[in-house]
Amino acid sequence: MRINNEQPIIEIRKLGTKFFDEWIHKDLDLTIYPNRIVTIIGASGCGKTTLIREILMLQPITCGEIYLMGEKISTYDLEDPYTKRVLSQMSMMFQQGALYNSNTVLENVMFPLLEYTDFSYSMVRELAYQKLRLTGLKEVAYNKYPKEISPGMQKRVALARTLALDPRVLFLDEPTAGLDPNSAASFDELMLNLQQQLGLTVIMITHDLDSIWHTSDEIVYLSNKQVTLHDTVLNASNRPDIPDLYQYFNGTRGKISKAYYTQNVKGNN
Amino acid sequence: MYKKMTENNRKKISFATIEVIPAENKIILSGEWTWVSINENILNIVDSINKQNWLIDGLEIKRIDTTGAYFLHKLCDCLTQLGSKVTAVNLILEDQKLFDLTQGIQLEKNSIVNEIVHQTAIEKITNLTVDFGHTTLQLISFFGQLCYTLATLFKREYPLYVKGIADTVSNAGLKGILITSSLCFLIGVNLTYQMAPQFVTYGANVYVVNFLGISLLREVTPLLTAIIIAGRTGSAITASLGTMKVQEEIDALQTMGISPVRRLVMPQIIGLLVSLPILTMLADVASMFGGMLFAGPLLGIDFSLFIERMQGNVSINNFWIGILKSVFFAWIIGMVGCFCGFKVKSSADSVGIQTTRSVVISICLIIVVDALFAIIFKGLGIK
Repeated sequence: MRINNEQPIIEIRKLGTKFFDEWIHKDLDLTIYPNRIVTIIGASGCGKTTLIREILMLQPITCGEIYLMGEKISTYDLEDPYTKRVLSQMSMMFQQGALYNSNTVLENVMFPLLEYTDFSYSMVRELAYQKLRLTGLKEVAYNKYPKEISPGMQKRVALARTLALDPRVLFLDEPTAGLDPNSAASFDELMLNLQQQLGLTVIMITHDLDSIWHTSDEIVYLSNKQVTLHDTVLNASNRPDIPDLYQYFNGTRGKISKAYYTQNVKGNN
Repeated sequence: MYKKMTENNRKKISFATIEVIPAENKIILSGEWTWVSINENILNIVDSINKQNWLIDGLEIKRIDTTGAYFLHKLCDCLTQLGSKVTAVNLILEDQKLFDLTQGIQLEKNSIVNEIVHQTAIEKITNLTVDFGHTTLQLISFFGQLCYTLATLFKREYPLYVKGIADTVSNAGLKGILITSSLCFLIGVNLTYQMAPQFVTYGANVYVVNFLGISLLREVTPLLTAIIIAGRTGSAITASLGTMKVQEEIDALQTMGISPVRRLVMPQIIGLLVSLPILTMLADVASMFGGMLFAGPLLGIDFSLFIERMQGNVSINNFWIGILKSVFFAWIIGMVGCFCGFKVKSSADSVGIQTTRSVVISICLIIVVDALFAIIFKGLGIK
């Protein structure tokens, strides 16, 4: 089944989440169309990661519905193999990479393939090699252990592992956090490139303004337990009626990125 | 192909297929070329076809992912190797992009990724030996450090961390009373029960008191208490110190100019030095009581006779030797627990490894030291 660009890939309706008598999300609606990079922003603790974890079914929801490509996944039984297959169309890259420390880089990428497929070991090895090459990681690192390589490389391995089962939706939790500007910029570039080549839908949580301006197509702003705004980056940065968001893009730090990228956009046009 | 897929779900998938039409020089691909629906043996069909020019037609492919692209590249490679020629690969634009992206990144046979260095048996043994030697040396130097800290413990310029000691006494001592005492009670019962028939055979019923007095007070109870505490508290010390090491809390202490040995290790060791002898005393009482309880029905020795024999025939030295040993055991448990905790490297599985090692090393050392004591007291002639 090819992806229909007209059909929403993820649809959330009337989602509610309750932690200890406190609503984190209430009546949250969000529709995401395929083949773009969507960035979720919002103050710390407003439930960005929780939202992603709920879509990935890592966390139960209190009420509401979640659809993935028209299929209602929020009521699926997690133990059913079919559910796992549906869920393998989504993949998450965790903030710390979550690589298995006792396995080498190559084995880390092989792991999901070995678990899910019937391919022989040597073939899975070749497939994993291919994914790692896609992320531009140097061959010398493939037989090393995750703790022996730099954080930037670890992020690439984590990305390769999330790509192992060719997901259609990729979730990235702070992909550039803790990277030096060079690594962060090249990671942004890689993500943008892969998103376009593989036709992925990327949903990202980040506080890195450069990353947002450079890569994102759309901004989802979470506040007051709901999606307050879902628009392009440029439009989102020009909304004085939402003071916190306006401050986010036009504060001391935001100004610089905004000036640089808006000028670039004008220059290109 | 998805493992253990039910028939019902299998129907929903259209599997990848290769159809060869030699007359038209065409290879037609269809179905979904994804990891779910490709069979690994799909390329076997290629082995049986003739050498000629082939046109690969992939316009009917329903969907392709990187796994599918890998197989497509492999198909081209196979054909080329067999002497055929691939004139063109026709794909729709979206698939063509993916095909081009994965071009030329296949794993080559001479790639450095394939050079996996395996350790030979000799290398492994050498490494293990060297590692063992290093660990022993480190443990000895840690021992020295602890002795120095203990010697300077009551100097006025260093504060004594009383709360930590109290915590350890409470955790290792108070909360361990029930388990050590009840297990030692059972051992006392058990020994009497097992040995009773032997004593009856020789008509030496009353000697059970001598036997229990020496074996329990001198050997079994101190050893058993120490082993239980090594498993219970030693591992906890390692895990907590190890977690602190992973979270860089120990480094934080050091930057504040506070010695981790003085602040973290000493309270644990002093706490153990206080609590283990007391635990051993209580366990002594419990185990002797267990023996006494069963000596009555099994051997006909009532309480008054048992106590009288014990006062007369079992030297108090047995008890004091047991307590003395428990002091050394406490030192070993605390020292090894903290030593392994400090050896944790910055990862979660390292904590697990070191916790296991902590228990193993402390139990080994406890038994070795116990054997040494047996020899020393024999040499000194203390009965």
